[in-house]
Order: sequence, then structure tokens, then C-alpha cells
Amino acid sequence: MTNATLFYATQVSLDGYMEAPGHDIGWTEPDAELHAYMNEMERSAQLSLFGRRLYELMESFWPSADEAPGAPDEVVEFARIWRETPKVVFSSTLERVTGNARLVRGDAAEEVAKIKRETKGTINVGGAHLAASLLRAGLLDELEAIVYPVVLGAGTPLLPELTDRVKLRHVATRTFESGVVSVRYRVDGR
Amino acid sequence: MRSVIYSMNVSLDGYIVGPDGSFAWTTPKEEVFRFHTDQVRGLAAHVLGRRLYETMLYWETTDQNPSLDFDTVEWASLWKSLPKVVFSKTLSEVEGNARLASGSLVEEIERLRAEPGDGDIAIGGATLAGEAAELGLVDEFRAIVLPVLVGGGIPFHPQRERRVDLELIESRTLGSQAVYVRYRVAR
Repeated sequence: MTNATLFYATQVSLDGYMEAPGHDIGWTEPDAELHAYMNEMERSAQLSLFGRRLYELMESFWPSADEAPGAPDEVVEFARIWRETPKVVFSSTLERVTGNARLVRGDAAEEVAKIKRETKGTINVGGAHLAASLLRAGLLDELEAIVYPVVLGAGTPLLPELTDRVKLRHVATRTFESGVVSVRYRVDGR
Repeated sequence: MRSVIYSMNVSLDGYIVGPDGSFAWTTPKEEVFRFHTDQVRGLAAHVLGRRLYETMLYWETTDQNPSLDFDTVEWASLWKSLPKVVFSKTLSEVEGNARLASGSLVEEIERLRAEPGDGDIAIGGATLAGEAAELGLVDEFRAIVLPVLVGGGIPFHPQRERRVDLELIESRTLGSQAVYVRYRVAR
């Protein structure tokens, strides 16, 4: 078996929210050091999977983000990675997707299991609800919480609607100058 | 000045007790246990809510159990001798080196801060720490993040929709699995 590794990374508050109420992600402001690290995570993926909301947010900004005058190097670099990475978008409402992307309307778990069998290396998944559904389906292999030094008090959990306890295995921790602590885990089972 | 510290074992998704009321997954491994013992060593006092006080009563008599290992006996003896202030609407008396709070949370913490000597003031559990945080009384958050997702329960930070900005002071792994992060509340 040469199944790909399915990897979910998200920026998260110390109290475990990936966005504040109202889909607010204004508290996430990666500096150059963290941005470079996140670029590397995106670059190392053979393929990226997205839920509809995150895909729309990313696609509205990144394809031309490097055209902005004075765009920092790490932003220019991520824009290029974004355009080059093949993407699969899971949505029952979108009519079409643009860029280097393919739209899947059917059952995400079934399709992702197939994609994992047919891919080598790492597949990234973006979007908390998609990641949670793949975790529930037993398809998520690794996750990384990029923990910001802030308590939000409410919002969308990093993995919403979990009903069973999930055991993890700590793989690595990296601390950034900004006070962000990024912790990587392997999903160990239920 | 003495700092007021809120320190707990917490799941990666931010809970100190799971949805079923269980915190068995927080049972500390050796390194985490020793870490908690060292933390208590640095305290001058502990402010406790009623529920945490009752949970911790277990430790008042355990050191008489001859089958306990050295680490456990050491922890129990440090915990027992630590001065405690208990907030409760229902208890009329408390056991051990503890007294019931006679003033408000603000007054009791002011009083403890003003006492001579070294050592910080710990506060728990989540409800009381949440009230203290709401009043701006908590100086440090310390989380021992355990490798588990529990999906719900009692959150480490119980304040509702109130953003608190923090400054990272320290981060390291305890043993191979727990991640310790220590923050100062930005003022």
C-alpha cells in the first residue's frame, strides 16, 4: 500500500477555535517567519482538498496576491504555490471552480479514500468541517495546531462536531518568535 | 508582586473535563506529575472553587497509604501544607490547611497578594478562574496540552466571547507527549 498521508493544519486560538464568531480570522496575522513555515507545509503537498467556504476565501485572494505592489516575498511565494498546487473542492452548491481545481459533489469520504489510494506523499486538507468529517471517517492521518497567543472565548472549533474522543500522538513542537506554538500530532485512533 | 496563575491539564481542543464528565484522560504520566509537584512548590497559596476543593480532598489522607510511591507522597505532602482559600455558597466549614473565603474574589486576592514572602497564587477550577479572568485578576495562564481531542465538556477558558491577548513566556514538551505552554496576560 502506498496510501498518501492526509494532513490538516489550522491556525487556532489557545482555547481551540479556528475562527472567532462571524467567521472572523482577523486575529491570525502570520509574520514572515510563520508565513514561510506555512508556505513550506503547502508546498510539500501533492494535492490540497478544500471545503467550499475556505476554497472561496482563498481563491478570492491568492491567485493574484503577488500582483499587489510591495507584496512581501512570502506572500508572492504563497501565491505561486497556490496556483501550482492541484486542488479538489468538495461542495454540493458550487457550480464550478476556477484555477488548478476539480469539483466533487458526492460523498467526500468515499472520494478521499480513493484519492489517498491513488496518491503518494502528502495531501493537505483545508476547512474545519471537511477535516472533521474525514477524521470521523478514519481518513485523517496527521494534524497540526498552529496555536496563537490569544483566547477567543467562542467560535468554530478546530474540528467541529466531534462525538468520540480521539487519541493523538505528539510528533513535534515548534515555537515562533511571535509567540505562536505549532504542535504536530499523528491521529492514533479512538 | 505575586502573580495569580491559572494552570490546568487541557485537551488540544481546549477542555479540562470531557463531555461525559470524565477527566481520566488527564491522569498525568510521570513527567507531568513531577511538573505539577514542582509548580505547587512555587506557590504561596491556592484559591479554590467548591468543586475543585472537594475533588482535592482526596489528597488530605492519601499520604497515610503505605503503598504510594515517593513522587505521590511528595506531591500529597506539598499539597496538604499549601494554604488554601475556598469559595463556596454551600459549605460551612473546610478541612486541612484551608479557610473559607470571607470577602469577595477581588478582596481575597488583594489580601493574598499583600502577604509578605515569595510564591504565586494559583486559582481553580474553571468557573472560579473564569470569574477571576473576567475581573482581570489572572496574570498567567499555564496549559499542559495533552494529546487528545474530546469534542466538548468544560472549557479551560470559560469566558464567553471575550477576547484576551496573551504573551508567550515559555513552551516545552513534558516527556514525549504533553506540551506545556505558559502565557502572561497582555495589559
